[in-house]
Amino acid sequence: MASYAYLFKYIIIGDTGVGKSCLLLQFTDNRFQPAHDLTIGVEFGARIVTVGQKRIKLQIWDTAGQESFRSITRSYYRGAAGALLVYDITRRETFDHLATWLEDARKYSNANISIMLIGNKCDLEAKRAVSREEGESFARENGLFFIETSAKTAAKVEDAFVNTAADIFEKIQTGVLDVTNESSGIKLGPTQSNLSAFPANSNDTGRGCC
Amino acid sequence: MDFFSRGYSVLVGDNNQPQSAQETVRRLADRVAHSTLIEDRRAAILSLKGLAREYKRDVGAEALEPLLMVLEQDREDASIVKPVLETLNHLCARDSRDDPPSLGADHAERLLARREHIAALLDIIEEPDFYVRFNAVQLLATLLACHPTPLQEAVLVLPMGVGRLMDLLNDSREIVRNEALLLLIALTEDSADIQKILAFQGAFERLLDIVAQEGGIRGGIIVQDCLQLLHNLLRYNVSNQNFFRETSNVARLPALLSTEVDNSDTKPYEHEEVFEWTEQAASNAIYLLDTVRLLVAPGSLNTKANQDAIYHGDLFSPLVQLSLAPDTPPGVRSQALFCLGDVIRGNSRNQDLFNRITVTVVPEGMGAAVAEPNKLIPEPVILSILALAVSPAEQSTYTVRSAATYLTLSYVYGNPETALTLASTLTPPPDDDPHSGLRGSARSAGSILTGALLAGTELAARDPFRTWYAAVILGQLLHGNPLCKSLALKVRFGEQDHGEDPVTLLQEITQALVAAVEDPQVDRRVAIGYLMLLCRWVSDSPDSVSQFLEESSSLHFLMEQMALSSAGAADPLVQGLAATLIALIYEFDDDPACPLPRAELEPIIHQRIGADMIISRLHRLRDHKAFQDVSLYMKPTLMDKHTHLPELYFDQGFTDFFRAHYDSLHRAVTSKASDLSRLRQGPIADSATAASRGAEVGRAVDPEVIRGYEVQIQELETLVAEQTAQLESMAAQLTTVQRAQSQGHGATEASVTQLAQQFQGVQVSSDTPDTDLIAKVHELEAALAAAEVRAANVEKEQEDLLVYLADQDTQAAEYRRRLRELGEDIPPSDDEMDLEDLDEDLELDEERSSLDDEEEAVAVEEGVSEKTYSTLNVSYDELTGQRKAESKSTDDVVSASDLV
Repeated sequence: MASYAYLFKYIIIGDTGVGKSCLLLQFTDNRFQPAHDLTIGVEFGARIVTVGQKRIKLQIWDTAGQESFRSITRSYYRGAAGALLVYDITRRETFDHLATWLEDARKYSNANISIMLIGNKCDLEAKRAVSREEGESFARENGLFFIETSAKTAAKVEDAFVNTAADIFEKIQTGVLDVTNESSGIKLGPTQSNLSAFPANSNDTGRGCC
Repeated sequence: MDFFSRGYSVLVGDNNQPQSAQETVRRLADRVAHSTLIEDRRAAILSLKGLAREYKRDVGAEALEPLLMVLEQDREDASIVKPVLETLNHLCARDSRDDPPSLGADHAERLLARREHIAALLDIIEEPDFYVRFNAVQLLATLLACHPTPLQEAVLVLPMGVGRLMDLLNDSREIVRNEALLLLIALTEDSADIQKILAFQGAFERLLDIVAQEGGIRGGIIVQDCLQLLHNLLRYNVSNQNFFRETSNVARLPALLSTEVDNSDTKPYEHEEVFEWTEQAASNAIYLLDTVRLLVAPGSLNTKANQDAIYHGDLFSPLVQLSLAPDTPPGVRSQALFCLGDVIRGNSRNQDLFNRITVTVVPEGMGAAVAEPNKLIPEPVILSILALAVSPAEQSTYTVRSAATYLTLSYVYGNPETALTLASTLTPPPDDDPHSGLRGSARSAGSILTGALLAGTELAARDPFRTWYAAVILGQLLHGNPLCKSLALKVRFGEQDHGEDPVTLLQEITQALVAAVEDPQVDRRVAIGYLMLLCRWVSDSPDSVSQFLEESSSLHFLMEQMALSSAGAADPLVQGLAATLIALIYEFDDDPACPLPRAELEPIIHQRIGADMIISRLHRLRDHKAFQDVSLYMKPTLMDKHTHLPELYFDQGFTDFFRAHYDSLHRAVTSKASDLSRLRQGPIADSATAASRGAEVGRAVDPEVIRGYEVQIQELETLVAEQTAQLESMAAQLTTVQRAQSQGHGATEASVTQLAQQFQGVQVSSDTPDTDLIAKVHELEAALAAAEVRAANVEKEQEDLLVYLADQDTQAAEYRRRLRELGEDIPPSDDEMDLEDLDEDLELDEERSSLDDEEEAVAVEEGVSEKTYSTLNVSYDELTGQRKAESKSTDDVVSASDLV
């Protein structure tokens, strides 16, 4: 098992068919599957990234976008440190639904969650229905990060995940996030338990594995 | 006590006449609903609580809704919520006195009808007050028992639902935590969504924490509850299994499984704690082992990855400890053996790791106390497992022996090299061995197996399964492994020096089969075991068929058995197997030196027995219930009422083998000998052999095998190089000769022009041999091309193997590099370790003799390539011959021109 300094929990949310599972697959496996099965409930993926010379394990929970699963997937909001809110730039309705998604996220997740707004499928420029500026302004108004990605060409996919991690990492360093609080979606990695970064707090959460 | 007096005062009517219960309940319910003073409401509720048992139906009918309303409105007030919860608990609980019997369930249904009620309950769970929390959890459990689905749905839909229940596991009050565990077990029974959310909320870590706190398997019932919940979360849930592995929880399991007591805290004057196998500890261990097995179930997609995770987690030592420690309860022991089997099955790296484990064994008849630890002999763990598999019934239960057999089968599964190592010890060591004194005490895998197989009818009558297990194991070793078969064919018993006729193992087994069938005391399972073994042995092995047929009575015995028709004597299983063996013998009777060639066997099969008889016996065997009810684990679930033996007749390895051969056997027995010979040597047989060889190569990922092939490849490559050089030198010679010839022409032309006419004549005369020469050169070139094509084919095969090897090496190197990166203490190279360990584990001499055998066997195996090369040689010989003829004819020309 690879060692890591921190573990961050992410959730990926957004309407069905916007490419949530494909983003995850591109990020964890570096591949694209044009005909992806509908996600049932929630699926799980993981990868280690490096932020500020720290190895960070991202534990990503990919949720089903369909309305029928909505109530189930809400249970995953609490305990997530980061959320990727995804819409499809070629389907305006997926952009229009962002407000509802965001409302859910604000309501059920912890207050300090880092949210990245992702306009996916930017390889399909010809079919674009939501302009980049619209996305940017929605993000600005709601205090979100914004990026346009393509799970197909892998453009900016890495950035979407890593930039979110960088923000969470910054929140830890500035003390906004409490590493010992289980519901913050952050945990110290197995190697961190005897490091002195958080001497007062680390006695509980850090031991886990070895 | 004010509450009570006030509450019960309503029971007394105006004229001091007792009211009806219904009336009282109605009044109380009204107060609960409408009283403005909280004290009044509380008093009414307490009264209702008192009446709820006795007048369940009335209280339910009148007061359920008001009570639920209180739950929503007054949820902050613990003093009022507590009696409400208790009352509701009474109302919804199943009670034998209920009229109608569904009364409790009806109340529960009404409660569950509105989601707000459950939301309120889940809110109340957050309340720190012990009684409130405890009663709320109990009420949820009661509701769940009545109507699981609506509650599961409600919990799922409420975003905090599962999270709150999960938080209960952190409650420092054990009663609450334990109650919550039971609730979660029921809640997760068949809801993959809830299982996933719990995993997301960190249930794995929390549960393993609790188990660790409680002392691992030594803990109480709470450990079992945790493990059961863990089991629920992982079973049938691939996503959770991935998550469990990804969060490195596998690494935590060994410590929990340990039976070693940590006495480091014990003060000197205290008694050291000694581990004892209580019923609870055994139950905990079984649950934990079950959970591990869930992760590595054969055929599951995740198995490989989980096996690899276990490789890193060092689960092997506690598993081996549990498997072999004599004080382990049989249930735990068999589960540990099965678990080890699943962990190593088909995973060459884990098999290899298992292979390196050695254990020290106390020699029989010596108690642990007597034996000095440093005098004990360490032996490979597989020997202890084998010995356990064929141990007498008095020592081990059937399940333990089945489990040990399964582990042995898993150890050789997909690993022909290991099978070969075990089979190489079948030959008893020669008596004149200088170390014979030492050797006498050490046992080998082969001696354990042959000992059990050839123990004699008396022992077989007492314990038929000893033979059966040994036969199953040996059958698996030989199955599809030509090298093992040729080794086993060479095993002989009896000393020629002492005037005994040496008898081969195959013949010994056949004799034992005959004896077992003829002795009415011996159960048919013994004969079945032998027959299964013989079938797998002779299949695809003309040499084995030949050896079997050397004893002419053997075939007669099989025919006799198959033809029996009286109800008492004929056993469909034995008959079916005898028919299978006869059919296999007919199909693979290809050895030219066979005492009974196929052509002579044909009239016996077709006229004396009849193909239809064989086919009907095969059919009957295939459709037999005992043949259908075969499990991979050979678990003795049912016991035969008369013999008190498990209903266990076949192992899955054999039934798979039988089914795979069924069609070809069918075809074989109906074919003429001559057709069959052609069929077997024709393209079909070839491609079949090629396919099986391909499969073998695919399986043989063991570096040892690849090294063997590598050596062969090198040898063959040298051969090719040599022959290419030879060919080149021949071609060079040819050009020299040609040049000499043309020079001859030039000289003649230059020196004697007046003889041009005559020279022309010479040229004409030399034309004939010249065209001959060119024709021969063409021939040579064609032969060369053909030879090159063949060489290229062989080379391609070798290249494939090399690529395979290279892949393996890079993978291994990559893994080593990664492991080192992680600070794992990795020996320099697995390959080196292999050799070292082999030397340690097996005695060198034995190993050497086995290697010799192996070499011979390899030579046999490589017969095909050798044949190719002998063809090559032949064509080269032809070339040389032609060359000689050519130089002769050129000489003729030269001498002819000289003459002129």
